[in-house]
Amino acid sequence: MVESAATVAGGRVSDRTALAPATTTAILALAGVLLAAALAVGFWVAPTDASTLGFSQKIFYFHAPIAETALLAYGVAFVAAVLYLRRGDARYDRLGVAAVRLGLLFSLLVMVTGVIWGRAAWGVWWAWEPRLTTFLIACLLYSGYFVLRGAVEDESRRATYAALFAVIAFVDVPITFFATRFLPEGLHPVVLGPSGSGMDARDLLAFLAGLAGMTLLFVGLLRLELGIEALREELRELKYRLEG
Amino acid sequence: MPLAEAARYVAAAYGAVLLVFVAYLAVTGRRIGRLRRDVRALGEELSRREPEA
Repeated sequence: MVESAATVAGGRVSDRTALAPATTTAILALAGVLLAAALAVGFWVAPTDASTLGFSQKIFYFHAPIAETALLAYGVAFVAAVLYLRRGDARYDRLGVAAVRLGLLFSLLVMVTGVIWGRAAWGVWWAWEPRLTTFLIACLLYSGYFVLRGAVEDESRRATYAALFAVIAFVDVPITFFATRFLPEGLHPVVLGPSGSGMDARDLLAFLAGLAGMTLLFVGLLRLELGIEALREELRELKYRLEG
Repeated sequence: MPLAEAARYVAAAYGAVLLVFVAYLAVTGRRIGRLRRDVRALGEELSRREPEA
């Protein structure tokens, strides 16, 4: 799909926005294989949880990797924001937009799978415990990122404000990540702590395959989103040239 | 929790993941298609105008 970004611009073929679609497709395919492997190991090889979670624990193989990937996306947005503020290069603004958009996509999935699992494991759809609350705050903060972008007309000011916002919003990310470690009274367990995971090796294998799969999925989708942002840029340029 | 009830929760969670990704890819496909059309149309318009100028 991104291949189409190599398009005619002013009579010349521009390949500026072509992001090696074969590579993106390969990354997405590999992500699919890893995610399928995670499910296969998780459902057919790993033992059913002996605690009260029982079979509902199988939600974990996607839920936890999706959560880690959402935080990774916000981390990428943070790095892009810092780089934009230092160098003023619009490419970093586009990277930030793409990363936050995907961060919100993965966050939506974390919340949806989380409430379903919460109902199964704790008997409630929602609990105001540290990890859930800080994750919800992150979702609301990063939704505000797009509200802010929509409110500023000037491109340069929009990118600067958005970058500053992304830097500030990122404060919540380490708090979310370490919430289970520093506030052990919460309902969430520590998945990978200093003393290991405490998981069965087969469970751990399924989790790691899921984590690798989700990370690759994020990378593939990020390339796709960057292609879209580059197409938008090309469209803006063409409009500018047509308007003289 | 009975296995059948737990299985319903698991199916709902994985179903939701699938649904959200399918919806995202559908929306993304439409976005790319629309942008491609717009870029192509403006590129052609620009090509027409440049020889005139």
